[in-house]
This record gives sequence, C-alpha cells and structure tokens, in this order.
Amino acid sequence: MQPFPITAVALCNGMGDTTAAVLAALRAGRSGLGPSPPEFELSATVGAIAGPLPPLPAALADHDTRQARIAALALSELQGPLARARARWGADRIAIVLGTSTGGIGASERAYAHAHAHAGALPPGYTVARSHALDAVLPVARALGGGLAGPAYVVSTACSSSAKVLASAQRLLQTGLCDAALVGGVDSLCALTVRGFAGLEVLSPVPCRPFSRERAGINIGEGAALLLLERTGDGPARLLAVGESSDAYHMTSPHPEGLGARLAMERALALAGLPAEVVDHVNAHGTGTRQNDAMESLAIRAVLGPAVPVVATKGYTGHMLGAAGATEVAFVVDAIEHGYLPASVGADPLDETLGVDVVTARREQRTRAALSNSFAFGGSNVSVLIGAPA
Amino acid sequence: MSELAFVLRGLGFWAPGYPTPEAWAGRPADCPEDQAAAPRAELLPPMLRRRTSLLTRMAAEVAQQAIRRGGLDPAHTAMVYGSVYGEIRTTLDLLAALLEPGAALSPTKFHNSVHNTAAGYVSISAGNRVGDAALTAGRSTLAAGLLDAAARVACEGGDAVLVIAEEPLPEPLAAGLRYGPLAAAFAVSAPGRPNMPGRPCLLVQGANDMSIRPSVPPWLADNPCAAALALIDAAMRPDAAAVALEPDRQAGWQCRLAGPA
Repeated sequence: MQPFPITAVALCNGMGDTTAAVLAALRAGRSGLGPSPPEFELSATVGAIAGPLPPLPAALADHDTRQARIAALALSELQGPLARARARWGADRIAIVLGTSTGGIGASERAYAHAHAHAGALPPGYTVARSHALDAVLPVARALGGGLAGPAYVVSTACSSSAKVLASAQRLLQTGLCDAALVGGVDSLCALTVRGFAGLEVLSPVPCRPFSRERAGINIGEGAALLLLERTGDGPARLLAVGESSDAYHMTSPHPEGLGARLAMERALALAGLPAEVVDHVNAHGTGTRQNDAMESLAIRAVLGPAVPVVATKGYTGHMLGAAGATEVAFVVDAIEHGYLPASVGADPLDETLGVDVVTARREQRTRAALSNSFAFGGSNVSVLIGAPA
Repeated sequence: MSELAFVLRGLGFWAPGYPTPEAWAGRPADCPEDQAAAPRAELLPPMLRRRTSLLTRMAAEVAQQAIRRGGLDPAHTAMVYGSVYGEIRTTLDLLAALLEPGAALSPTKFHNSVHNTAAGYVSISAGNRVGDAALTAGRSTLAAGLLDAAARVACEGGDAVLVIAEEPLPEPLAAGLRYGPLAAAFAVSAPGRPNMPGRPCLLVQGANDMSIRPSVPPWLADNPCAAALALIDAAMRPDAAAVALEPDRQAGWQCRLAGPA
C-alpha cells in the first residue's frame, strides 16, 4: 500500500478537552480516569470529558446530542488544517470516514425512558435518524468541516471501528476516490456500554491496569480522535498500512493464542512491504482483562519477538470503544514526533508471566515505525502501522 | 471526476416472500409481503443461528447466495456489511432492560447489538479470517458499501461481498414509520483477472434522472436501503444500465452495468 501523511490531529477525552491538554497528560503520565459524572447515574470508574460540552451551532440544532457535541469539539480544532485542505484539494475531494460504536445511543436511552413514561411518545427534538443513528455524525462533520463533499461513511465494528477507518481511507486515497480524508472516531459515555460490559463481568471498579499483575478489568471512556490524511504534504507521521483480520472463533472471547491479532500485525507489515525489525514499539489494545493481555502478548512475541517495547494507554483514557483505535494512533503520532514512549500508566507491577517489555515509565527513545492494535467483538482485529516522515 | 471499476460476480437477495434474486425479479405487479417468511440462513450452524436476529439471518442468507453464485471461497472472501440501523431490535431490548435500575444486561444481547454482529457470526461460521467491515452512510449506505468493497479489491486483490441488510424499525423509535425488511448481496472482484466470469461495472458520479422512479412496493419504499432493489433489478437483466445508488439526491454515485459483449 501507498503511504500517506497524517497532517493534523485533534483529540478530546477524559484526559482533557483540547488536543494540547490530552497530549500534555500523555507526556506527563497523568491518567484521565475518575468516578462517573453524576448525570450518568453509574457507579463506575470512567474516562469522561469533564464539564459541559459546547452546544452545536444553531443550523445543526436538530443533531444536538452528546455524541455530536464531542465530534464538534474535536472538529473545532481542525478548522485551519481543513481550510488549507479544502483550498488545496477541493471540498468534493475530501472524504470522511469515521468510527463509532455508540452513535447517539445515550440520547435513545433517555428517549426510551421518556416514551415509557408518556404512552410511547418520544421526547421533543429526538428522531432516530438524527439523534440515534451511527451516521448522524456525518452531517455534523460535513458542515463543521466547511462543506466537505467527498465520499462519507461510518465504520462500526465495535472496539476496532476507528482503526478500521484508516484502512478504508487509505484505500479511498490509493484508488483516487479522494485526495484527503478526515478520519477518526467518536464515542460518548452511556449506560448501555457501561452496564453491558458489567454484564460481561469485565468492568473494573478502579482505574484499569493493563499488563499489570494487579489488573481487574476495563473502564469505559469517551471522546474523539480525528486525523487528517492527505495525498501529499508535511506531517509528523505517515500512515503506512493497516492489517485486518477476523478471529473466526467467538463473538466476545479473543482467540486464546492470539491468532487473529497475529494475522492483523503480519498483514500490516506485508501490505507495507516492511520487515518486523522496523517496528520500534507497539501501542497495544491492552484493555486490562486477563484474556486480552495473555493473547496479545503471545501475538506480539510471535510477530515481533520479546524485546519490542509495548505501550498500553487505556490506563489514561479508559476503553474508548469506537474512538479507541484512532486515539491510540494519535498517541503513536505524538510518540514519533517527540521521540518518546509514554508510560503505560497503571502497568506497574507488571505481570512478568506475559514475557513482553511493557513500558512502565516514560522512555526517551525514537520510533521509526509502530503498530497500534485494536480488537473487537465479532473477532474483528486491526493493526495500524504508523511511520516517521519519509 | 473520480470513478472506480469492478466486476460483479454474483448476487444474493431476500425479502419476505422473495427468497432469491430470481424470485424478486419475477415478482407480481402487486408484490405482496409474506410476513410469515423467514430466511433459512443455512450458512449459520443451528447452535449459532438460534441466537441471531432477523438482520443477521438475512445477512447470512444473502451472503451465502452471492458467494455461491459468484463461485467464491467463503473462507477467503473479504466481507463488507452495510446497514443503517443495524441490530435495532436487539438494541431496543437493551434499552428496555436499562429501565430497571442496576439490573445486569444480557451478555448475549449486548454482544448481539453491535453493528458487526452478522460479520462476527458469518466469519465464525465460514472460518473466514480475511477481515470485514460494517458500515453505514444513512440513505447512501449502498453507495458507500460499493465504494468500500470495490476499493478493497482494487488495492488488495481477491474477492469481496457487500451485504446490505435492514430490518424494520421497532416502536417507539420508529415513531410510526413502517417498512419491511430486505437484504441484498453483491460479490465483487477487481477487473483485469483472466478467465473470470462476471459483469463489468463502473462507479461514477452524476446527476440523477429524477423522472425515473424505481419499481418498489409500498411496504419497502421507506426502507433506508431500498436503493439496493434497483441494483438487483438491473443486475438481473442483461442490458446495459445506469443505477442511481443515492436516488433520493439530485446527484450522486451511480453504478453503470455493462450490456452484452
């Protein structure tokens, strides 16, 4: 596959409501996890965006959900890069490929409760097409992107959604269907995901600790990560290739030997035409469950050997589900740009039986290329290969 | 102006009373809905099938039809799934369960509510480790799905099947909007492979002829994936055709199907 530069990044999540705040927390090893805000009525540790989210512009008032506001918050930071891209390529040559798992399900939770109490009547302002649907984020992104008019769609494969979008966008660029692509993921905190994972008995009551022998499960997080890919241009990193696979094993449990995870990493390298030796670190899926840590460690060792440094960042953000993949790709971009490996917050004391070199304290170290893994329900696996500028 | 070529290798179709592309193409003028009909979904082993929704069964049924008719290998075909509301009935069950404070949600319903539920079940059933995607673009889902599938085979070779499936919206979310279920599948490969049977197609953008209204029965008219019906109709006829993939818009993506050589 042909590499494409990543020319801009925008982030918001439990670590902060601006890209600068999020990356400052990452560089300093400061977690964004905490007790769930009271309005969610959940007793859980989560990664929630603090404080009220700015409302949407009046023209988009019909689309006003927490999900749309999170998307708008991240888009507000990309106004300059998007204006430049529109001027350079034309708005109709800029695609939008976004990942989400939740869409506006939080709005539907309230709407359903309202209908239950009001003889089936939905609350004013709620429509399933604009409030609930996974694709409801597209008109928001088109409008706030300044009238983007290229191909636009949402990929939703649970926790691999916003890593999968990079595969789709790279193919749109390579086949000439667009010259730039706004990609990433948006997920919003809601009861359905928190209580759903509680039902699977994988929710940790305290901040998650991926790869630690003291791990106790996952936390749910929310936020957005947006990246701008362009056909040519200057950026801090490049998208080299994306490897995809399915476990073909089980709807929720990963293949115990990490077969699908291994295939995804191997395919990313094969599609880039690069040997395993170029990979200087892995941003692991690293959810904080025993099953994930065990199979992912096996897969990393099989593809890259036991010496490659492994970074797990869900101790900062929680598991952002449909926004996790793009968030972690953005963390890799920052590590490449600034020559460091972030601490895997919460990983110390390590589970030494895993046999991988998990980065527990920040290291000053260059990255030529890194793999970022995301795995999901349905056995959906993806590994994104990001490289330093050519 | 961007465009992308692909070869259409095979079709799949299911709607209540119309269990194959031939049954759909030969529909009577009044085209009644057989609400008692159910997709067979024999691709799914019975132990898995009994845990699945109408949406997943429709998707599995049409996927298998397109794979078989296209002569593809079910274990080595990239799968792309397009649906607007996905597993909406299962999602509604979860919304109802959430009204009980503190009650645990069913783990099966929870993992069956994701947009890639059919993708998971089909990959497990077919032993397919190639990888898949589940996507939506609202009423442009067919266009987005074809672009994604055609770009996939153009870049990586091999074969792909696009599965479009939409089940009815339940109340109260539907707010009175009623439409029947439908599913369609399109097996695609990149052009240029020797000795490969199939129909050359081209994805292009252009103005839609708004005077042409596809023949859609009233019970499917509001299905957000109804655009797939016109593509099945055109693919079942031998003559050259241009199908609007986004027929609600004045202009958009179209699929040009080649006529007889």
